[in-house]
This record gives sequence, C-alpha cells and structure tokens, in this order.
Amino acid sequence: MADLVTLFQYGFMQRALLAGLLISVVCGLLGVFVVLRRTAPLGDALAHVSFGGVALGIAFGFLPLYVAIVVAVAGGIAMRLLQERRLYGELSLMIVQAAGLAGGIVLVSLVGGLNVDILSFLFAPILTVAWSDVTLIVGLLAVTVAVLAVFYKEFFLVTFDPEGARVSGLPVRALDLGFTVLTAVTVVLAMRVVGILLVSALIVVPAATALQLRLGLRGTLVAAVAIASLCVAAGLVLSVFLNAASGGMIVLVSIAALLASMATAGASTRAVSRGPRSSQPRA
Amino acid sequence: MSAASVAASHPPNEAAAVVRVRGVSLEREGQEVLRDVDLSVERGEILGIVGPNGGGKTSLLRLVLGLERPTAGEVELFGVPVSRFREWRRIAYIPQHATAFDPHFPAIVREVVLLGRVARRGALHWLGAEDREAARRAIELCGLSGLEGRRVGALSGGEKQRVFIAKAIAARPDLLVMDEPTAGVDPESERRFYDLLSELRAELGLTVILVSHDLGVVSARVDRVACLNRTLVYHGPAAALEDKDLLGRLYGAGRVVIAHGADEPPVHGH
Repeated sequence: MADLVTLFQYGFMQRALLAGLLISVVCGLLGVFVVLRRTAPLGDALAHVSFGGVALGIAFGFLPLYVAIVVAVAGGIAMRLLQERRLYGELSLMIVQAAGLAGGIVLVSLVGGLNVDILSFLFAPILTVAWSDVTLIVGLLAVTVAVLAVFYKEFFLVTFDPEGARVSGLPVRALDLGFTVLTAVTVVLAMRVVGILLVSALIVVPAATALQLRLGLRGTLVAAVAIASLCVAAGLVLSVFLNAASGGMIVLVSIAALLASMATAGASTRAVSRGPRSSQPRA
Repeated sequence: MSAASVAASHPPNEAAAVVRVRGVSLEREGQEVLRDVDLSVERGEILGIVGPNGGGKTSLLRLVLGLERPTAGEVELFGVPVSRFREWRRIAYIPQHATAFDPHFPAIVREVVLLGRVARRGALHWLGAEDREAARRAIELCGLSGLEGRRVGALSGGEKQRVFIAKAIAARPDLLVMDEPTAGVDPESERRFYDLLSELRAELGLTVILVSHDLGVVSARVDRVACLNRTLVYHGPAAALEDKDLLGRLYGAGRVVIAHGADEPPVHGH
C-alpha cells in the first residue's frame, strides 16, 4: 500500500493516471455505441489510419498527435463517403486503413526506419505522457463528452431504430458522420494510453463488459465508464509493479474483466433457466 | 369515432386527405413492382393494406414514407407532395420485424418510449418534464404500466410490440404506419393489438395504415382495405372482402406472385 502511495508521488505516474482516467470516460461512453452499432472494425481501421498521421507528424516535425487527429478524421470521412458509393462496408474500411498504414510505412522508411518516437506510439506510451498531452486530451475530451451528452438520445434512436429515425426526419446521415468523427478523435486519444495496436480494444472491451450486466442504456453507459476507469487504473499499477508494458497490461486486465462478467452472466442465466418460469412479474 | 369529430380536432386548413396516392408506378431494375396505384387515407381512418407476398405492400409504404421515389405518379401527405413534405414528425413508422431486434440491446421500456419524444422534437432538443409525461401517458395507454423498468429484450412478443407502439404514439403523430405489426405475435396478443388500435384512434384521433398478409383478421378489424397485387385490386370498406370472387381475383390462379426474399416475409398460417 505504501508502495502504491509512493508510486503516485511521481509526476509521470500522476499524468499517466489522469490521462488514462480521462480517456476511460470517453472510451466507455463511445464504446457502448460502437458495440451496439456494430462498428468495432471502424475503431481498428481508424487506429491504423492514425498511424499514417503519426508518421506524417514525425516525418515533418509537427506534433504527431495533432496530425494524427486530422488524418484519422479525414480517414473516417473517407470511409463514410466510400460506403455511400455502395462499396461493401468492410471493403471501404480496408481500403482507407490500408492507405493510412501504407502511407505511414513509406514515410517511416523515408525518415530512416522505426525510431523511438514511432515505437512509443505503437506500443506503450502512457508513462511518457507530458503535461502538454494532458492539456490536449482534456480539451478534446471536453468536446467529445459534450457532443455525446447532447446527441446521446439521437445516437440511441439511430442505433435502436434507424429506419424509424429516418422517417421521423432526424438527420441520420449527419449523425452517422458525426459519430465517425467522434470515433476518430477518441481513437487518437486512446492511442496515447494503450498504443495504436490496442486502441480498439480499450474502446470496445469495457463496453462489452458493461453490456453483460443487462442494464438499460443509461446504466450501461455509466457501467462502461466505471469499468474502463478501473481497468486503466489497475492495468497501469500492475504494469509498473511488474515492470511490464502498460498498454498491454490495461487491455489484458480489461479482457479478464470481460471474461469474469461473461462467466457471471452465464451462471445467472443458467440459474434462471433452471428456476421456476413464473418467477418474473408481469403486469 | 365519426370523421367529423376527428376533423374538428385539427385546424381547418388540414382538410386534405392524410395520404393521397395518385397513379403511382414503381419499377426496380426493370421489374414492375407497382402499376398505376390510386389510394387515399382519410383522417381518423384505419386502413389495412393486404395482398400476397411480393404484391408491393412494403414498397407502397416506402413510397408513402418518402424512403423511395415512384417511377411515375405522385404521393401527397397532408396535402403536400412527399418530395416537399417536411413535417415528418407527424408520422410514426414501425418497420417490419421491428420487434425482432437484438434481444441483448440494453434498453429499458421507459428509455425506448422516450425515444419517441426524440423523434418528435428533432435533433438538438433537451427532453423535459412534458416529454416524460407524454412517455408516461403512452406507456399507460399501451397497457405497459409496471413494465417501465424492464429490459425490452426480455419482454414477450406482444409486449415488445406494445413498447414500439408506445414509442410511436409518444411522439403524438397524426399518422401511424406499421408494416406487418402482428407477424410472430400470438392470437391473444393480436386481438389486444387491434383493441389497442381502436382505443388509440378514439383517444388520439390517430390515422393508421397497417400492412398485413393476413387478410382474414385485417378485414374484420379495420375500416377500409386496400388489396394490392402490383395493381390495386380493391380499395374500399373492409366488409366487402367477404366477397369470394374478389379474393379469387386477388390471390387466384393466373396471377404471377413474385417472391421478394428481403422485402416480404414468408406467409405464416394463423
């Protein structure tokens, strides 16, 4: 316990935990919609695209995180536009993802191969989070959470009943596009916590865990935020004690939580199916 | 409820038919789906659209809802051509298989019914006490009191269907459009469904269009029927459907019935 307290006296640990918890909030909220809309592959594809942005930033000496956000948002919009051209859904993701990745690889080779900067984006960069990163994260987080808070019910309606939403005159196309942009921004933010390769896991896995709890939408959103925060904090602490990669540890803890919740949900389902059928009250 | 008392609850400039379909034809990839259909739906009326699978019922709904454009002819909603119609919040639509959504979807009855208010208000509006009250009223009208906190996926087929109707009427629409609302619902729930429709019409002055392949039940429970088999075979009082010749013309031999796998469900016996 004393070790834990000492640990958080280090500035790098404070910054890492703060950044991690902030990002958990947005990952938890957005993740639930990503899972329900079945757009988990979108997160992964956008993460690969943002690799191109990071490489671009490093190659030309701009702030990689900012460039990655611009590239990921552009990539997300490109995917949507390709989908509207009646390209098969996964194919449009594949093409844009490949473009980002290929561009990134070429740029990396031009600037002299994988250097420390690039590796830090690919894997476990959270312990290297600087205060300037935290500022950027706080700013974007505020915007993302505000947009989600305002459009929560619209996203809910479009997710639950897309056809009905379209008929009632809701701007479904704009909402879809907005959702893609939000996902792109979140992917880049989450990249700072777990690295490009594990971004979509941080968005999707805590949400999937929360969905096991069989709550309403509001309850599921709250649970997803809580689960994501706990997993990030626990993974971070474990990684420091075990001297292991923080991004990987956070994701492993998240997956352990998912498996535990699935086992619990499975056990309770079996208990219900064995119990008397009349146990559920009906009005 | 008489047509006059229903009309009185709306402004006088709203005298036009709720839906008017004039000479509408639809072709998809060279295939004729609908030919020269004329149809009207009057205020406060419950219209049943029946016909064989592949007869164009769902397609006609999609034209009425502006989800598709006709190849020829025109559709008017509340006296306005559908291409220029903007008051979509006056229309609630319950698609086919609406109740067959992912049973694990994390939504409780209260949340889903409130979504009807989102449809009503449009994007970028906060929901307030008035909206919660409208949702509560819709839940009550649809006989769902006591189930507000239950997950929708855990309800029975008939209950789920009433949740969707509550969501639709929470938006206080003037027109409710339903595609195969009683598919996969047991006979008792089906009976309750039609009772509920009559109550909602009396209570809210609702106009209803419903599509069904089940001609027998529909003709007993709606005001007028439109029989569709690519062309409009019959459009008039439901009582006339006891006429066996008409049924023969609608479903009889010599008519080509094309199956739209994705468009229409297989016929279920009742």
